[in-house]
Amino acid sequence: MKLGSVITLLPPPEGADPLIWRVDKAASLGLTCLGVFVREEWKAPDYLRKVAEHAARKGVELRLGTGGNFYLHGAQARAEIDRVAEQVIHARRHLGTTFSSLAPGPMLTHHRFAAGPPLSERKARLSENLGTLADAVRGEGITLGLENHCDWRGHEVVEIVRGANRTNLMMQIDTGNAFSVFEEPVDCARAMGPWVVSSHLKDVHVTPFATGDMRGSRAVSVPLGQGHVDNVEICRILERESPDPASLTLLIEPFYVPEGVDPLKFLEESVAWGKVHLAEFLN
Amino acid sequence: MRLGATPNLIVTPNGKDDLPSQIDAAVAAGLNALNVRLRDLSTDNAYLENAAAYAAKKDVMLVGFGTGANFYLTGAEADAQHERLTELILRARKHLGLTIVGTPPGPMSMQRWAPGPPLGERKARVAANLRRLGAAVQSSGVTLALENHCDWRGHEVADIIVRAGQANLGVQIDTGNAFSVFEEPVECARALAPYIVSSHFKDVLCTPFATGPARGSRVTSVPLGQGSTDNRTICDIIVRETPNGRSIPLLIEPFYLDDDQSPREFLAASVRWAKENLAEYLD
Repeated sequence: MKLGSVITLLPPPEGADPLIWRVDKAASLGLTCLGVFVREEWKAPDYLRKVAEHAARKGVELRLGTGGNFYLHGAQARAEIDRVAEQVIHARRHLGTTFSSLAPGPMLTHHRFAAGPPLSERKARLSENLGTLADAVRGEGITLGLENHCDWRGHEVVEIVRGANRTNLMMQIDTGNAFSVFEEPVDCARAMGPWVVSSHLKDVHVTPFATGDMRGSRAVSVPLGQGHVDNVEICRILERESPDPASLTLLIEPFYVPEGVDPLKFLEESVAWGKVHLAEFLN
Repeated sequence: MRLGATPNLIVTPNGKDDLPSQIDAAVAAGLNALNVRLRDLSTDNAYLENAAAYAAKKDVMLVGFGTGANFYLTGAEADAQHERLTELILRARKHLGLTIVGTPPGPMSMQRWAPGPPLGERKARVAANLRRLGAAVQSSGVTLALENHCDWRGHEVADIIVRAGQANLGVQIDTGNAFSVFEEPVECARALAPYIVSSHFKDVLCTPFATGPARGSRVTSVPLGQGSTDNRTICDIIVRETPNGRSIPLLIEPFYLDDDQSPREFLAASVRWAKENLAEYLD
């Protein structure tokens, strides 16, 4: 497995190149993969090729992250699929990314507890749209990874991907997001394991019954090792169950960056924990 | 099934908190069961006997809870608590006629993620202390009901019951508390169904990813029918899988009451929902 980070934990200093600097910083931390997204202002083919060549020299694998709204119907769905396919293919051709993670929809409003059609209908809609997207990018040699994105439980993501039944539609597990849908993260890993080709490695701290101003149960963001996600056991499951553990990327991601917290410090603490506690799994 | 409530939702017209006034208020709210907090139990035995007779006359089932127990204790502390609880429960049985006493395993601070001995050891300690108390009150006809109290998941509570192996030890399922330990309440009900003898009937609202000052995942208190707990399916499981399932009291309890929340309105909304949506299960 390869240890890496998402780019949000690597904020470049003013004036620095937004992607080249992040590749360098990731490499300096001993990371071998980086989860990137491509902003409009970074889309120039020559720039992306320069980033790809730099990352290759530094031994940092780039993995794309994207999302869309795959709950749409008809012409709206078709337009959304075309839009996302164009993004993913553009990155494939110029940045060299052969993988892209996918969020199925807007997570604040489209999750399993939100009002709407029966869950089975929503899952079927996602299967259909994601299957169409997978077909649109297959010729480019791209694999997609549907993420449990604070919306569905692991066994539900499995249903969606099985429903689509495309060889290039796999999964990106987010190890901490399981708690956000009130699921044990280890159970989530057991369910998704056979389809996992990438991961967001995350820790969250849970409080069953908080008092004070924020009463009730809470799950909040912490660096790796400071919360309640059993990422060691999850890696053990992925080592055993995932299709190709050696190529699996563990991209450290925060649940969110808490106010007043330095993202780089958050990452450094997480990397330090990962290198000690996940050593047996890392390439 | 009888529909009832915990005393913090019962508002008496005259503001008095004596049992006959609470029984009258419960009947007025359309209930036929009432939780009695044993920690505050009167030492006036004649008063308790009159209250029991009044409850029988009004056809209100009384169920004990709130003993202030801590079954994690060891040694002399455990012995002292055992004596206190045995005396309290036998008195409540003899003078108030209670046959079911709900209890948490201990303070909510002793939840499954709190630092301490391995979970197996903690469960064994709780099981041993409950076995001892169960044996001490068995001949009086009291059944103890261990609650999932924002501390353990359903399968873990079932494990404690099995370890105790005490015939008069069952479960008081709290339908909403499952979410507080990041567990699906329906799964909790399936795990506990064989052992249920009472219930705290609760709804909570789950937010996978909250923005604003309380970022992250949250579970908050709502009246029945306004949250994410599938209490209808849980009732169905109890009726189908619990011995004498139709005799289980459904005691409405809030996760918490906000400072500005009216207990009367909270209860009225919950009773209205239950009578509309659980009619087929209610006596």
